Amino acid sequence: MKISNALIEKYHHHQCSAEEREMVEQWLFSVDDESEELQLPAREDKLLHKQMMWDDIKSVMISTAVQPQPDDKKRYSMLNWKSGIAASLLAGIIVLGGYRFYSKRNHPLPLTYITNSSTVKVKNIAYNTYTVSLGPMTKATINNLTGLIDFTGSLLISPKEDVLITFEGSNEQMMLKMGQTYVVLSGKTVNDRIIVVNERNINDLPPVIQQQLLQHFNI
Amino acid sequence: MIKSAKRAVLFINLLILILLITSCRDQSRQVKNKYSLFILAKNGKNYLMETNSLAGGKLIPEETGVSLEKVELDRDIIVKDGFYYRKEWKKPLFTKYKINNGVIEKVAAVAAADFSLENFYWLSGDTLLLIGNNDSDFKKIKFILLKTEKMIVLDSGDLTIPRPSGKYTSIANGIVEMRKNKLFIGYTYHQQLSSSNYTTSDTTYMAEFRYPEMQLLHIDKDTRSTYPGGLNTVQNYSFNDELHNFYFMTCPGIALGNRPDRPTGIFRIKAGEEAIDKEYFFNLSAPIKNHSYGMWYLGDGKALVRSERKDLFKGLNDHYSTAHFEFYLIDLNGKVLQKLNLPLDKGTRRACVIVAGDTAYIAVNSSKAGNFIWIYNYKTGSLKKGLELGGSTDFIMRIDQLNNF
Repeated sequence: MKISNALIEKYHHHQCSAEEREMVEQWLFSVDDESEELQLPAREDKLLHKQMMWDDIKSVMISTAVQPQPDDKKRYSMLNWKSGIAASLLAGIIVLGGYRFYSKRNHPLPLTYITNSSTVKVKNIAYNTYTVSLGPMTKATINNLTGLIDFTGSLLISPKEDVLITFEGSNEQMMLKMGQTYVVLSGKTVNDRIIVVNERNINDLPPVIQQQLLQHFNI
Repeated sequence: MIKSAKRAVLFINLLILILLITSCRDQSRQVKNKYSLFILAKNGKNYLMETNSLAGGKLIPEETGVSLEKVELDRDIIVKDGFYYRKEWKKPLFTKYKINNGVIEKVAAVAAADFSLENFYWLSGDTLLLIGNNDSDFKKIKFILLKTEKMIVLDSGDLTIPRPSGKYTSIANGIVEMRKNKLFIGYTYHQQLSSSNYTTSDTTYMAEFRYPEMQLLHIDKDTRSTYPGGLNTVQNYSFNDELHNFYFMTCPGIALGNRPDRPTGIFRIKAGEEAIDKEYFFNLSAPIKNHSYGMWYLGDGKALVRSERKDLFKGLNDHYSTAHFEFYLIDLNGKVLQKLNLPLDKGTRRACVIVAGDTAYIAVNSSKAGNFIWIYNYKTGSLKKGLELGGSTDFIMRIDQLNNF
């Protein structure tokens, strides 16, 4: 559904036809299926995000409200109401735009759920402290706040600074050092194991696993 | 005026002559070194070092080593007569390198399409046989036969070894041996269980081909142990004794075959025979109570093996970084062994032994006692420290006989 800025302005000036008003209200109060970016990843707290968005909107509204009161109360209360709506819309657009920007620029939120369902390609994600490449057929839940990574498949992690990471299932916090690249493998099958090896020591891995890595990451 | 011009011409000619003479002297000063060392530094950088003696002194890789930053040269290499050879990982090329004035240079390369090098065998002179997998799905064993002096491929193709079937997903070649016109290829099959787990068939296979036709003659099977050999570009697993009895080891431990339920064993193909000797099996795991990887012949039926200590490492994650390896002197005939009094060594697989006469040079990476070449005389039993690798050295990854003189 295409809603133009002009139409929104028209809506707030009560100049819309009944059909146009219905369109705008439908857009305002319903979840748009086309906005895939608004679909939060699994395990994300929807309420938390809602609260964060409202807090942002509120802060804009409060800053508007503390401006000096004009003489003509009626005229300015009308203006305040209008600017409040405009500010809400503006804040909403900024927050949603920011969310879209983050999604598109691969700067994910602290907790991200990523799937690379390709059988050939590698998916790269950049965080503040490290970059991670997901091998083919890899699923990962990455918590950037706790440093917990729960995954099945293969990862390449290149820290931008020394980072402490715990891989789900290993119950051991590992220090991954800046400037190095680490190969991490996890199968999540019975009797499986998590393998974490510095890329420079890749020749120490069993040849079968080296072959897998060659096929996955071309390293 | 004319005189001074003549003098100037003479002076320039003299200068050119002196320059030519000095440059010739520089070339002749390029001394061939006996040994090369491949060093992995603490900062992750690789260095090659060439030296004429392993008996003493100290080398600092970041000071006199040749940085390998600009070339795709890792430690899975073949070293001979001053040159380094490697199948490139990312390119379908088998490349020849040389160190020239402190810089590693590519000399030449031949095509090696859909080929992952596992083992090599030097035939006469500069004829080299490469054995490996197809790197598209690792289900075939292939060969490339080439002359390394001019880098010309003589022959290449697939070996008619049965591909993995049933539950098996890939094939691993670990042994290559040539006896006159008979080529022996040791191999086994893997089953991939997940992206991080696999297992290996319980059977060691030894295929015999007629060379140079590469015609399959027969396949020998043995279930006393599995995963014959390994990648001899990284570490050695076989040899001939003075009587041309061929010995090879199997590596079912977690770092290779991942069949820790099977013992590490030494098999033999007797001189003149064409099948594995069913009467001979040296079970190394029984006395050592661990798995071994790597074997080097000393002489007089004696060899060195490198063995892990499972009480000191947790798994594959620290297998390469924890110092837990021990060296044993083994007697192939008496099937007895004796531990060498060396510091615990780190690095899962390494080309770490050079044998010259009665002496074995053993590179040991100790977490506490530094990185040294140890000098071991297997006849007298004497063991002492030789060359030290200092500075940023983390691992001496390989030592090689670079030139024979």
